[in-house]
Amino acid sequence: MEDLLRKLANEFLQRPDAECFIGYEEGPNGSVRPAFIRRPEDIHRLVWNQKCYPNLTAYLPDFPKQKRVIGITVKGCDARALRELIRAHQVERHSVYVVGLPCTGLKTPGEDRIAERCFGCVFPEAFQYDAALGPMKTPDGLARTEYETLDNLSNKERREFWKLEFEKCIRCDACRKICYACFCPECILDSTQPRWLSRRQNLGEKLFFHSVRALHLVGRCIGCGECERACPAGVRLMLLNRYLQKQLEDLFGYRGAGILEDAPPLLTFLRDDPDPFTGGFE
Amino acid sequence: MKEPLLVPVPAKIESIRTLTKDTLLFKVTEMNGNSTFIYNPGQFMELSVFGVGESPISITSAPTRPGFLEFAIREVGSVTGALHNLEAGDIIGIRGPFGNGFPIEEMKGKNIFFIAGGIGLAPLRGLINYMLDNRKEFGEIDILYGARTPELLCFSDEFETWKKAPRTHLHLTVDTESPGWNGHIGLVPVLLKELALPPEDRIAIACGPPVMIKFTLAVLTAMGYPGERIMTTLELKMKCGVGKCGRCNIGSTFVCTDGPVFRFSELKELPQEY
Amino acid sequence: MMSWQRMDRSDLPAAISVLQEKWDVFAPVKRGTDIRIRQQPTDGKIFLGQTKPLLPLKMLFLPEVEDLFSFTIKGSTSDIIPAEPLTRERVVFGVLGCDIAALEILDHVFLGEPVDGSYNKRREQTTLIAIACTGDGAECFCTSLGINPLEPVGADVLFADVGNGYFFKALSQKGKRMTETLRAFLKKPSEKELTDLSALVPGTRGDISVDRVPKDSDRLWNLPIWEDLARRCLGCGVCTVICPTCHCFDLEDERRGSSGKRFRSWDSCMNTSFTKMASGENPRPTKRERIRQRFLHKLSYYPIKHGLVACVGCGRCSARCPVGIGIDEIIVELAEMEG
Repeated sequence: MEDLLRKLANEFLQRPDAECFIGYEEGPNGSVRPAFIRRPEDIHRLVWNQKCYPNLTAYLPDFPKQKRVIGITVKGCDARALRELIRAHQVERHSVYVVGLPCTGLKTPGEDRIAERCFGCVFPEAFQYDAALGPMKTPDGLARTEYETLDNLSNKERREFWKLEFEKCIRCDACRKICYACFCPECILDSTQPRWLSRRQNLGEKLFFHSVRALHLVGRCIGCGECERACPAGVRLMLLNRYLQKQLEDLFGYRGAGILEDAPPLLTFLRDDPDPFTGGFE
Repeated sequence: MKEPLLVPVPAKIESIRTLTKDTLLFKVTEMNGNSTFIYNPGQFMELSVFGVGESPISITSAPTRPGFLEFAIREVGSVTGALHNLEAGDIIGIRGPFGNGFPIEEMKGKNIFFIAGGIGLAPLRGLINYMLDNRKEFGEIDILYGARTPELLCFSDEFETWKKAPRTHLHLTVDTESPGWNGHIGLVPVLLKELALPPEDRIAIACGPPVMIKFTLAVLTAMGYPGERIMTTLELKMKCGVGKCGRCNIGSTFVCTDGPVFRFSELKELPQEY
Repeated sequence: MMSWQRMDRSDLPAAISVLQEKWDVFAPVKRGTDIRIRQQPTDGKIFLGQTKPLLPLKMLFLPEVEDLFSFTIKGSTSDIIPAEPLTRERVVFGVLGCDIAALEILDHVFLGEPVDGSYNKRREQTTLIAIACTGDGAECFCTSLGINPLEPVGADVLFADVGNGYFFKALSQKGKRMTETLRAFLKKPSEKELTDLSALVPGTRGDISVDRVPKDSDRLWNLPIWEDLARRCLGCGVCTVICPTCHCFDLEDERRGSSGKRFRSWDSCMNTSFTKMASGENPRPTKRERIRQRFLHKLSYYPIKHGLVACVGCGRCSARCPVGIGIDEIIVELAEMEG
């Protein structure tokens, strides 16, 4: 499959309007990292394997809007992100050349079993790839039978759980920067006028940061788990994001960001919405 | 340097005067109404609005006139905005003085050519008045000062004093025609070229918006001023003011400790980041 | 004084209690996979393995958040009270050579004129017990920077975990004071134990050729490597948080009514607005300028000012960067420029 990948990348780079080809390459200590290929002689660096964790679409909003085309490899989850980015006008469809990677699951880092993040995988429906290394469909065997939940804990126990979890947070911003959905040029949590969030390292500030981020992601999170992988402190961010996603499923029947063309529920206004959205608190 | 580091002393705003539509002149003393700060022209202080933050502002008063400090502050951000909302009698914090200041010893006996644009006159005004207070120690003093419009000229109430001082010449200009203005019209570098002051025994000190500095440096260089005798003050985002927070460096040079006064010859050696 | 002494493993808790009579004791604690230096006593066992804590030792000398002073401003009266950095002396147990070497790098900044009083007090009042370390994974390359992890310069006491005993060796007056306090627990080691101790060998990479990196930033300024790294870099700043030599900080005020505080906190040169002025100008507007600043500061600017490279080869950056950027790879590439 890597041969086909390199062939496609090579053909793409021959185009006069090709800006670069974003894929994966080997990194330090046996890891895999993003690769930005501009010259045909570098194409041999491209790889495709079960350690290709990063969601490369997160890089797309940073490219200035231009007429040149960016080649990019996407797994199923990444393609959902791309669909969301296009819907949010962060990327124009005609400015990307999309190569589908027929992912059947990534490995847990350092271990020989399928990563937790891959369970519940759903590929986007009716997504038009420009090319693919194989059939782009939801893999078998990765159905999620249940969500991990804290419903069996009392409120007090839950509070203790999250206190410990967020106390680990070192406010490094890795989760925010690696997330495809965090493309705001200036994040509200960085605002200085007014200053909503201070640099204090107390639990209150950390809870505020993560609550705001989680709520801003509701309906847009694709469940890729990159935030949790990037977090150097091992904060269980996906537990929160998945729980919120489950709420959307239960309340609106929404299966997840980017699976269909529809906008996420919290970004959608329907004329028959029971809430009139007028006036104050009645 | 007062210990502990990074803790300001309280200070009182004696008075606030309008210089231009967005620039105010603050006269500041310590709480007892005096000022014991010893400083050199070209240095700066960190001014605190308690609860908002700190801002580095160059000292515009002259150390030859003791008992108070003066700062010309333009409103650009949260701290300077907060300063603009204060009144005489209000309390602020001051830390400093920081920075290298002008090399005054080297300037003694020389002709001094001040070139300023807009609020760029503020860091130079202290040195001008210092030199006028020690008139015999310096040669000819020429002050070339311009702004977009006459209303944007700062310290205009001191122009007469400067003009009248011995061997001191004031050359003013505004960018475009303005009602009531009978003086020179044109950008500062244009008047600079016209004045054609020769470089021998002369030190040029330029301060103003980056684009003005760029063209001024080009004209001075073409006129034969060597890089060692063209000086300017740099402005970068600063926090600690003492070379520890890692923010204001250009290469291995920290603007807060190695500057803010730099010679053009020194700037050429620095990484071209600024 | 300068020889090894032995303690039974089971005596450690009691020894810590004795230390706590004179000092606040800090030690690495493991919770799950998370290892941090924490003040004792705390939830969780003391961890004395050779694994780097997530947040390096710098957190005890330049805390993540540190109050500078509190203020009360009412009308024409003001009250400014500087914060007290430490109330008690401290012992930090189980630090690694890389983190200790980083303190020397921070000393040049914070103990150079004008001296940072808070940092100085913390340094003076802290006794460091270093673990004789043979390396913590493939990312380690401290030996390339001239650091000896088995007996790091700057440690007050050396500690080793060999056979079925714990071993201590005082290396300084401060260290001697500590080992004297524990003399009830300390005995002479056996010959075999001494042999085992002297057989420890570091397993870190010694071939990262830092000396061959040109110090002259002119030659490094326009290299394509900065553009390449900038594309991949997320600008998240994890590297700056976990790096033992990174020390940039920000100042922030908080106020309610007439009272408040100013504190300093860790900041990162990788932030978009790190050098952004109130006017909106930013000399480092893109990731390219910022990532160049980060590495040139460590490999060129700091060495020019202070004579040593601002990196201790701990490898935390390359191990934790979500997109695989590490200073070791950059050093190798820059050194190769020299041919």
